[in-house]
Amino acid sequence: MKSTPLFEIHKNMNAKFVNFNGWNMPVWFEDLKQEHLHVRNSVGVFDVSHMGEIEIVGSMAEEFLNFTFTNKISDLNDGQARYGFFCDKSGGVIDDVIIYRLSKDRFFICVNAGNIEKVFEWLKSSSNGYNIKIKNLTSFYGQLAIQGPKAVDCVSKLFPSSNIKNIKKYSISSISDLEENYVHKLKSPCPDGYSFLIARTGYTGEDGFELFVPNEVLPDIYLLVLENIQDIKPCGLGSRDTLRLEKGFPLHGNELSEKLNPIEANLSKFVDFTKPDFIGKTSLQSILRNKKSSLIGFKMNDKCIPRAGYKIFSDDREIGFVTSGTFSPTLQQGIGLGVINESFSEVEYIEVKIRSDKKIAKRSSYPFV
Amino acid sequence: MSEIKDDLKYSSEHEWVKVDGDSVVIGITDHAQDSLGEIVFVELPKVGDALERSAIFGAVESTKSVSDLYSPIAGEVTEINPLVESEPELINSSPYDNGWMIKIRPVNMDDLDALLDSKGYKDLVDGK
Repeated sequence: MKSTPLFEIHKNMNAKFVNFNGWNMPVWFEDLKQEHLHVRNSVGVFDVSHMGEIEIVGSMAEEFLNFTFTNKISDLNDGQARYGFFCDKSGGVIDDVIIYRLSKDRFFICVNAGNIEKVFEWLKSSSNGYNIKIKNLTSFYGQLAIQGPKAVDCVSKLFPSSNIKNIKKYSISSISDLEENYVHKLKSPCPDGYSFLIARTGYTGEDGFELFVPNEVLPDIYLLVLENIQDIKPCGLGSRDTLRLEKGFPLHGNELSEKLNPIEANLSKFVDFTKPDFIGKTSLQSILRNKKSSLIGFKMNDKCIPRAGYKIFSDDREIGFVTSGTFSPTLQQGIGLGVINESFSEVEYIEVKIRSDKKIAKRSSYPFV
Repeated sequence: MSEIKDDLKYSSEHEWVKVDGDSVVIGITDHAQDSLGEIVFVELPKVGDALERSAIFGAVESTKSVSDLYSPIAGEVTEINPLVESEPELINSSPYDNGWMIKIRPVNMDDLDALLDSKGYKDLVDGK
């Protein structure tokens, strides 16, 4: 199993580990619920170095991404970011990603851990005729997510010369404080000059940042963050998942996959049908005209917990399945997302089969909190 | 390190068993509760239910995951602990005492001999 450069530090902090897509990652430190609520109320830091980073470089980079990415890319200015999908020809989702425009001819893509090689190979195989370079920088970059209502203040104080407060949501910038203090320590600095990046993005629904920094100095920077940000708690992937689910954010492999397209996952707003063409457009248009299923949110009536894969029923008819479910630490209630047959998309109540019992759940809009 | 009590018997599914007269008390081990994290929900059988050995008799759920509970011994459920249904966190704070789950009257007390002793269970937890 792979591990990040923070493994030893996490072990010494008594983290509980879990195998996530072949990575031995902290699932929680002391307590999942405390970590979750701490991020909602204060600030937490997550090691997300298992995530991948791919760069598209060259004069045709924008044109290439315009054709491979479902969302609009041509209106981005330097430093701006956008969420969307890489879809295959049938509209299935190869990965959901954030693309950051570093400059006119340089785009930085944050890719899900389980999909790095697949995305890299797919991008390469789609790049015929484009004058670009596709670089997999995953082994160079580690990644920290600092999230929570106090994150902006705390990170601004930690990096006083980097104008942190001026970084708008969904934007990325260099961190000059880290550049100054750490770049000379690198045995192999990033060949492209962007060794220390900070983006105002995240996966918790709270304000905060994602730091892309070299794995080589990641432990130093992690300790700097832990020791200098008051009240910060290290958090594991367990709370990362409950935080994203309370906000109704999709997880690739659950709400999105090669078999689950963005239209039926109710994420059409990240698909720009006004673009002349992009991979998967024709299929997604026909899915849009004839939706077979919908993603719904629901809350359990009784105290019980829906889990991914549980079947969903309406009046004894099986109509779908749970894609993600948990016990919401904020609501103290079982919540879930699920895919149901489009002809039942108006039902107000569903039943979720939990072990041998069918439990009633009420449809709910999401974000749940 | 999680606690393993010398005077209990253990199943490979991380339940403990304690003899109490002609009944046995069953719960999950300290190691099991520690691996699950904060327990938010527990599902127990009804008094009077007949359980086969290794039958699923309930489930224990933390925010992160769900684990089935397997009966370490065949018998009839004579009592359940209503407190763990209303305060499942007792299983975390007191897995061997207040966090007990059910009492069973075994079909055959000799079946207990098939369970692990504390040394055997410790080896299991340590992956030996």
